[in-house]
Amino acid sequence: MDNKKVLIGIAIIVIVLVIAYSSLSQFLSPYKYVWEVKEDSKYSSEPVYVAGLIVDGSFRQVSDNPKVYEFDLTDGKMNMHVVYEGDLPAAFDPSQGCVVYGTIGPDGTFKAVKLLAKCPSKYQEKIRERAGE
Amino acid sequence: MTVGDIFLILSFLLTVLSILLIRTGKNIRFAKKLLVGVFILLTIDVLLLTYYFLSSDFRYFYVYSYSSHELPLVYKFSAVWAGQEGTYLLWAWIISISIFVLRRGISRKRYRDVITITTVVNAFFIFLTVLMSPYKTIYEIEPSLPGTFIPPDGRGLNPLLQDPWMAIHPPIIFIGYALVTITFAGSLLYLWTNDSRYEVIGRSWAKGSWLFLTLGIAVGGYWSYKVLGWGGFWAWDPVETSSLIPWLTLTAYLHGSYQFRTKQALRLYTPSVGIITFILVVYATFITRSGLWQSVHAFSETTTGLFLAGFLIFGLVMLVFSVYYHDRHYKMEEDESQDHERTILFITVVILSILAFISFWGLTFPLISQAVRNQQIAVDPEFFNLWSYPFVLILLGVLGFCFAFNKRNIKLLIQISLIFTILTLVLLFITPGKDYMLVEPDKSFFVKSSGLTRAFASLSLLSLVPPVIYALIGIGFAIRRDLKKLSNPKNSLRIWGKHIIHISIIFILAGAVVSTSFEREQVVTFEIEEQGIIKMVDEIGIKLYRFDVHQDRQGFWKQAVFVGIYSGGTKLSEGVAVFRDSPYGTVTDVYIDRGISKDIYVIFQGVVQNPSNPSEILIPLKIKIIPWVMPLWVGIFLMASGMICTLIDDLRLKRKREKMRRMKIESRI
Repeated sequence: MDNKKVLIGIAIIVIVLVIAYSSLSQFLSPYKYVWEVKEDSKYSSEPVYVAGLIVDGSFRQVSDNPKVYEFDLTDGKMNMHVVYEGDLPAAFDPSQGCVVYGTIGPDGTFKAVKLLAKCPSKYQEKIRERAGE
Repeated sequence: MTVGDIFLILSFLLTVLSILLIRTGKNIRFAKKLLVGVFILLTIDVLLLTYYFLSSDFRYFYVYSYSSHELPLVYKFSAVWAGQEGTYLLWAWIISISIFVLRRGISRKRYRDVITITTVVNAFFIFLTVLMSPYKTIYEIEPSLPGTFIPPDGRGLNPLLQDPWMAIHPPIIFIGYALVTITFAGSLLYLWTNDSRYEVIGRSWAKGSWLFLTLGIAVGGYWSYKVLGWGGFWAWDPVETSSLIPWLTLTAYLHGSYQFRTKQALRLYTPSVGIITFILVVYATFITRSGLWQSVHAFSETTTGLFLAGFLIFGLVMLVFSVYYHDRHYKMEEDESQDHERTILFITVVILSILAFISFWGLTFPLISQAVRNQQIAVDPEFFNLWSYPFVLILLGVLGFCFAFNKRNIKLLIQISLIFTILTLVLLFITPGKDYMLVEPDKSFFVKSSGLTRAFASLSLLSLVPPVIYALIGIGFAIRRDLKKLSNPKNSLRIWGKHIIHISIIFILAGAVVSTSFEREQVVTFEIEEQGIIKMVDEIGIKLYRFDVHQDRQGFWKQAVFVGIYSGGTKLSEGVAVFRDSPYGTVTDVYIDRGISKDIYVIFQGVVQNPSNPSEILIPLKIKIIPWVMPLWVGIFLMASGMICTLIDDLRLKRKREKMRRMKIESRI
């Protein structure tokens, strides 16, 4: 009986450790700044999340069918040209920050397969901006 | 400092005072009155905030941030909990209501103990509300503003939140969260006193909490299903995941507590899971509010994150201490006898805990990595899907076995189980198409993973079929057995509730897996003159009725496409897909034709020029065909109804017991 309990306990611990360990090597995508992605060639094959701001006025639609958008993403230090194919998230606003997920090409163009907008609740602008209108 | 703030601080002081009175045992009756006072004060506060919204009083920053003159009345109500300030208030208010309701049907001493803990928790949430007060004026936040300035209009509520489902989602989730507090109190007190009647209190509230959590998660999923770009009904976003984890542990708790009362087993584990569930609820709030997670949901960073983290640690310390205390002071009277039902339930609880751990780890690892290695990372959704999958299969198997089991059929049952197990294992390796793989091979996930992970990800979804059939057969057996046995319809409500809940799991799993894996999409493009023409997407016909453009009073453009959905020459439905500007960027309102076997999802994101002939205007429509979404919603409906059946039966039993007790007292007189 007690042996059985110990065995079950060990089995559970092993399962938990395997799951925990696998996440370390297999299921992770890093979040990087634009300059980090540009400087490290490994992101040409390994997908990465990049958060940043869209450079004012750079956002445009390149193609309609399929929908392709391009824009420049900045972290304040470096800019990166991003091409994204897919639907825009609802309530997407180019003047807000966004997160892109994808790989960087040899020409320095980032090919995004996912584009995430920030949550609606995050839109809290400073009241002064409003009052100053 | 405004009127609302004064009420808040007053209610906080009353809460603290009542805790002191209850604990010193001096004037309990007065303490109870104080708690009623807290409830009344918080109610006034909620009403006050609602009033500010209804009267569009933009001098209050919270109202200014989430409302505007144009906002429809209904959403002025729901804007009360649109931000974090309001949700803390709501939470504190709900706890104070549950303290109010709690007093029925339990002895004075136990009531005293349970409300002490609940009130301490409530004091904490009132304290958070004071810190993050929704009654702050714009002048407090921007002292440079002249006192005469009143904003002409508010920022308005995000159009995504102007949705009936999003209006009810937060309060439902928060009722679920708040009710866990009592399970927490009951579990702690059981560990301290070894009196299982405390466990009973915790258990009866856990069911209600489970119901609301289920509904809350489902409403959130239903909403994000129709909102474009939010990853469908489930995307393993940190905030979504964080609400699933307490749901899983609460499910484990309910199974454990069944063992607790019928088998005298899991007497340490069950209350521990009850406490852990509460800690996870606080953790979920911490995730939403701390700003430490990269999530599309994430709210901005705030000071309350620190307090929530402190409270989390406090909860963990309480857990460890209580388990240690119980272990030292009370001899475990676990019934060591072996029976199959007990083993099966034990496995169920273990697997539910493992599933909770998978979600927990995937959610927490980025935070650890950031703290230890100063590296920001995201855990891929594949982590959750792949690891959960085998355990879900086992869970279905255990479910079927448990329901079909009785002492006489054990041999036959084991043989059948063996056949189904082999079938499942074989089907794991049969993939008729890439849709059938656990992870589709064109996903970027495949690029970076190792051979072993790729092999895991390439396993076939067909393996879900035998466990599903097995589980259904098992439940069928149980229903047949119960139909024979159930001569008394009065007892049947509970049993039906149990069956319905377990059937619903199968609906939900099947719906979730099939709809995510076998979704197809295609673009059809109409020229603007092609009104009245039907174009085919696979076997589905899309008819363009009309295209409209107009500009509203505030100058925002709105494009609308009226479409009809046809199948085999007959019209299934018609509706409108909209693409519009808003102060928050462009909004896409999709049109969904909901069918029993599949949904047709029409996305329109604006007209375009024909690249080869710029004078021509085109209307591109993206059509998604998503199979088996309906079983998912039906499953959730069943799940909730099953739990409601069980709860009704609980209330009936409780009333009966009270009546018996009263009769006993009367007969003594």
